[in-house]
Amino acid sequence: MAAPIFETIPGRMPPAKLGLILFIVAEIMFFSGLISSFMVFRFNPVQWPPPGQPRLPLEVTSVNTFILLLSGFTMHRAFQALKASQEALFRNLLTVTAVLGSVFLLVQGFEWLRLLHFGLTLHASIFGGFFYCLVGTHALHVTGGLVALLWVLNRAWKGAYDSKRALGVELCRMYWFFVVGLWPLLFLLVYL
Amino acid sequence: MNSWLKRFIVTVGCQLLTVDWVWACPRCVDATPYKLGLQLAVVVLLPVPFACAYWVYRSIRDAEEPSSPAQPASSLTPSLNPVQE
Repeated sequence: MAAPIFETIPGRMPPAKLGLILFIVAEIMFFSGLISSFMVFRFNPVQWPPPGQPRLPLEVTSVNTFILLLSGFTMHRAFQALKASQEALFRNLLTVTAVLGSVFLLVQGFEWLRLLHFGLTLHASIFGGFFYCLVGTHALHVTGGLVALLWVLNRAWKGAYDSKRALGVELCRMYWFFVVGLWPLLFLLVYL
Repeated sequence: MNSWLKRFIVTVGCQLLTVDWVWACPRCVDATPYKLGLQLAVVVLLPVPFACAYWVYRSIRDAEEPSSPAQPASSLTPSLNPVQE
């Protein structure tokens, strides 16, 4: 009988993990392209942001950044709890991570609505274009990570994971670390 | 120097020399108001692909574990005189 294509061979990296690593590398290069084009306009002698544009909500977004970083920490602790066979703690921390990720997205969406109301639209200026492109692309990635997180959470509550079967959680954690780690860089570049 | 290392260095050098920014006209680069941003983008982001490649390499290497204890080289080599009466 032929072995399954995605079978995990002991002592070898699971194909799903290698695939995710390559995907994250592609995403890093994608964001590098966006950031490089933003930097070309950001660091020029002309005033930035352009005059007449609404002020970005620095305080609220700082708190939101803390919330996202906290979700990265709870994700890490959840994985540690799973490895230590503390399934109840793992499920609770994973739930907290999903809630924190949802709060981040909701606050971002609320702030976007306010900025649109104040006139910062995609077509208002190059500042608006870059803002929505960079921050919006990241928000899309957080949404994707949240969908994966909810899927893993659903399986976790059904008892699909333990200290030996943790690949799904590990992959979810890797992707979540990517979106969490990327955000402070975007925050520093765009908001400060 | 190993021949494969020479080939690697020559290949990387050839690829770098064909990159457009190496051949960019210095006057044009100086004239643009975005010179600082261009320079910063290159300096900050140039290491990114190398760091990514190194991460992939490290991940694959760290995941590889010997499935069985190493065998001595002599046991892997077929004996020249296998049958001794």
